[in-house]
Amino acid sequence: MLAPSNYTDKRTWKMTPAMIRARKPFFVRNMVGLSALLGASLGIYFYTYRVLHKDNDFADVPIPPIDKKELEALQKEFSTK
Amino acid sequence: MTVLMSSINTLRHPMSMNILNKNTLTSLPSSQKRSLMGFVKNALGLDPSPSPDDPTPENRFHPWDQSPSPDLRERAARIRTLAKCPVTKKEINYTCPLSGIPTHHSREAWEADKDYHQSKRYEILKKVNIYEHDLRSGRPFPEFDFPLDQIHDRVVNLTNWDLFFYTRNFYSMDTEFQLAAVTKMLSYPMTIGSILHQFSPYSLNPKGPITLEGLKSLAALRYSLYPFQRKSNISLKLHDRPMRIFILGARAEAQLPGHVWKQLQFLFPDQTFEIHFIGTECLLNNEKNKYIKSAIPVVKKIDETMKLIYHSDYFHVYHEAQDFVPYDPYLDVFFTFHPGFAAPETSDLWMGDTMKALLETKCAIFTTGFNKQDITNDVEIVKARYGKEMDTLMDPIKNSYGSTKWELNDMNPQEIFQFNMYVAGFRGKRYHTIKR
Repeated sequence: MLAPSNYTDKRTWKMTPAMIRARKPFFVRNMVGLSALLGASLGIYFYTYRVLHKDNDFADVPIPPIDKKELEALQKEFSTK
Repeated sequence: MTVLMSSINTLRHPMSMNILNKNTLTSLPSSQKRSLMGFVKNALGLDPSPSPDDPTPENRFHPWDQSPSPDLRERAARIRTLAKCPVTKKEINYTCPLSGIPTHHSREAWEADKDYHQSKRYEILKKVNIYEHDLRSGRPFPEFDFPLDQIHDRVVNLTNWDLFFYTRNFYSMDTEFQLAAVTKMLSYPMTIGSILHQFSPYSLNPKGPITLEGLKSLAALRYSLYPFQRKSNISLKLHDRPMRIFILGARAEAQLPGHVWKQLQFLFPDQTFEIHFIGTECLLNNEKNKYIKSAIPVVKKIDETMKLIYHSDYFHVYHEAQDFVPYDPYLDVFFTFHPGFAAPETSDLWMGDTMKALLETKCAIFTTGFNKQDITNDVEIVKARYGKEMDTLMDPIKNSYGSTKWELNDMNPQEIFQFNMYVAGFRGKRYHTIKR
């Protein structure tokens, strides 16, 4: 399956100059296509991430009013340390 | 004519012929010692250091008159006897130090030649020099291992040489030296193949050089080349004979070995071919190094799909004897490789009976030239003499499959050219039936 191609270096597996020349007419359009596809998938990923990560934990839950004495008791309990 | 003769001699040089005939050369194991440095480089994925055998412009450069190869020294001597200095009009006595080719009478004349330095012609002359030395260097030539038939679902891209070599899976030709050696041989079959192929790089007017009449001729030929793409499969074997490709005035191309021509058939696996070489210089006796004449055609069979047939007389002789009738524009096509229709030495031979016979066949004729001037002259002279009897099929254009090896004319070393650099096409006019 991974038969060594004529067009990769036998040792380093790099593209040979002949292959780079053959790819030249397609290089720019390939790169434009690559960036479009990458941009679309990364865009969707980050959009989803942002939408799901709106960190508003219980911000919409109203806090019930608290009694003044109770508040002082609580402050005393936690601020002595 | 003389231009070609000299270059055929180079092609027929015993050593280069050896290269051409042996397609089983394999690359020798390079004597690379696996030193520690090499191991580190390999681990880091760096390129291995180049072997001293590899051709570079530096190690292939020698002035021709001090060349290590005797026949290049001989060629330098021939230039000295045949050519004249362009500045002083005296004999040539000075070897240009930039290109290594004898070009001028003296150093003063060389310095005075403004045109030579401004046009940077010495750079191309240097390429002539290094390519010739590379062919005689005795390095391994793995690029002459040509691929066999194409796997069925792999399409060949014919845009240019690089894509053709890549899609056909040739040896990876990384340097200009390898390209020069291989494209010079493959230029002949590939010029034919690239014009006839369905994915030809030449497109229809106004985007390309093919005229409407040209498309008609090519469509007929492609109908025969691709029998499985026909709309009606009523008779796949409509024409029960191989396609004939006539090559008129064949010289160097007739000496090419069979496996080079077979590359053309690999492009068209559904069709069988006969290649007819016609002309007094197509049959060469290798021992005597002389052109021979044969009353009967000499047939060389490559395999079931391809035959090379050599006819050692002028085309109009066979045409008048009706040896090739019936001609069929669906199955016959003519090629002339640098014929020199307009060249003073050969014009009379071509423009009389031969051209009349060619136009009478009504088959497509494609022709090539060494340079733009050559092909323009050829096309112009045919138009001037036979303008009313012919249709243009293809306007002169740079051949995508010309040889990339630069050559020079021994009579005038500053005249540099490449084989099959330009290509054009025409055909005898056909008169269609008109409904009254």
